[in-house]
Amino acid sequence: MSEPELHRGGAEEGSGTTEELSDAPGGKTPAQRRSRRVKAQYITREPPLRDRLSRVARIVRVLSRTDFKLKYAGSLLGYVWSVMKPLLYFGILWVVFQSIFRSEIRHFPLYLIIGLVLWTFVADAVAATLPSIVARGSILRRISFPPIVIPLASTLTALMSFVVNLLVVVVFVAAARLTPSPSWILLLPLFIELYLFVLGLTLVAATLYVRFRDVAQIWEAVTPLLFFTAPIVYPVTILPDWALPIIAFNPFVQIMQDARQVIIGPDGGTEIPLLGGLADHLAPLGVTAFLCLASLWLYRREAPRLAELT
Amino acid sequence: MVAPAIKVRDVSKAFLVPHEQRLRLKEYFAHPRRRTTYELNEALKNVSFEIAPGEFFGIVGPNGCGKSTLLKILARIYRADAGTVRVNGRLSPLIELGVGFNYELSARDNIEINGMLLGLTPAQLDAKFDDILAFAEMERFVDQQLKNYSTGMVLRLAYSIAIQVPFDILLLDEVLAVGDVSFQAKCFESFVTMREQGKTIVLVSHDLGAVTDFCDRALLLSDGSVQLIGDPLEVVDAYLERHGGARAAEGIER
Repeated sequence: MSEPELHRGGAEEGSGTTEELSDAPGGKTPAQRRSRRVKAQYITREPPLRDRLSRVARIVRVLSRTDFKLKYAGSLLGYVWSVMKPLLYFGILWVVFQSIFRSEIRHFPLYLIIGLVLWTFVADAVAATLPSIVARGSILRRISFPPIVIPLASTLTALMSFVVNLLVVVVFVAAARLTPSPSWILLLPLFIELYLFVLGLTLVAATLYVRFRDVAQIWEAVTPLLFFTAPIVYPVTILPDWALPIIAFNPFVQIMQDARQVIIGPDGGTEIPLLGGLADHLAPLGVTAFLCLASLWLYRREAPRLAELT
Repeated sequence: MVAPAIKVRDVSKAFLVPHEQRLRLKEYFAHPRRRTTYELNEALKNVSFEIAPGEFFGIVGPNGCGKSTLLKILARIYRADAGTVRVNGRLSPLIELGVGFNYELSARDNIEINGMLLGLTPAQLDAKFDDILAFAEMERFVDQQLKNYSTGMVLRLAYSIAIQVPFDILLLDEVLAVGDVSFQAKCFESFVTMREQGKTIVLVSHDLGAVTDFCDRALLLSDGSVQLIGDPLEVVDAYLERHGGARAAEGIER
């Protein structure tokens, strides 16, 4: 019998392992020296790409569904909580800041809730996805599948909550007596950009967290910084001039301001007078693209060893 | 000549075990010059063997000799440092007492997750679902959280899923260790059926009786190296001679 068509898997990634070994002290054992020369190969007949992709899609779907179930398992109100969180924040921040910013920002409640709903998505997605690969380590050590499905599923779960939370925004839009216009279709590419930004961010965090548990502490410390440096509660105009070019690079700020501009209109504290001109969009888009590419590079480098490190 | 189901050539795998746990960045900053001292645990050293399609292949050896690492490399869960692994056919692994179950979820959800992970389509899963439950004998508990199950029941479920997935090669790691007598009998029955169907089975077990009863050939792994491949009786004898006390040997003889 002739050999079936074989796919060579993983031959190119063997160097990650040898690099790791060079960390060892003293002389190299014969096995190590050999491993520098001979690259490990796993050869098997792979199913067609379409089958592999549909398998990944099925795994992502079932994992995100069970993630959603687990998140609210045993709680009486279930996913009502995901709506409650931005609303609670909104209540407090509105009471505190309405007297200051009401005159400056048209539709301040709507302005605030858009920022909070978008922020809740980012914060929740990172909080859930950062430890996800480690948390699913027991499956990773028993069945072979691409580990990327874990952060993918986890961010999609957060996306589900985000969609539910958008209903809150709809209520606020109605309360502000705004009528949707065809230009609101622009929200879709903005949300896609937001998801890609979150996916890149969480993929980096979740992958690094496997090796460095500090990532959780770093994120915990950075979260409030990000919340207060982004004009979620306040208008951009109160920031000092020197700070504007810095936050202009934050994709979250650009997405939030663009979303507000689409919904509320151009003159409600929604402008992004940051770098000026096209750069206002090119800079954050560039950051998002870089983040996505960097996260994929990091993931591809780490993927073969994630199972043994979790 | 028929291509082997599994062909392993010169596979080596080492784990670096740091003497101090070094999971924090702080250590890198605090002692940038100091290299953590590692112990190199060579789990597998130049392992080579072949398994023919339809063969029932046993792997025996003392605890910590690399059996599970070897199975994980075969299942593509770990990556070997060097060597070639060639697998011809669909694999179904059952490693470390059960697939990755989530104990907060019900048996139904766990069957779905693991079925998908092992490559079933939703339609295939629907078709197999009742068979999986029936084999595990847990129809009554299907919506209970897994944490309420005993270890033995979880293992039944895991085994049941692993053998219902379409596969050509089954990797079994210590399935016989936890099950009760009736489950063991059931496992043995399924071994016979699978063998008749021409499946290739790799069985890692400390149940030496099962190895000699079912396996066509066996491999003795010790300290990460292959000591002997051949007739299961000879391999088990060699294992007992080297690693088992005389008393254990007597027990098996009887």
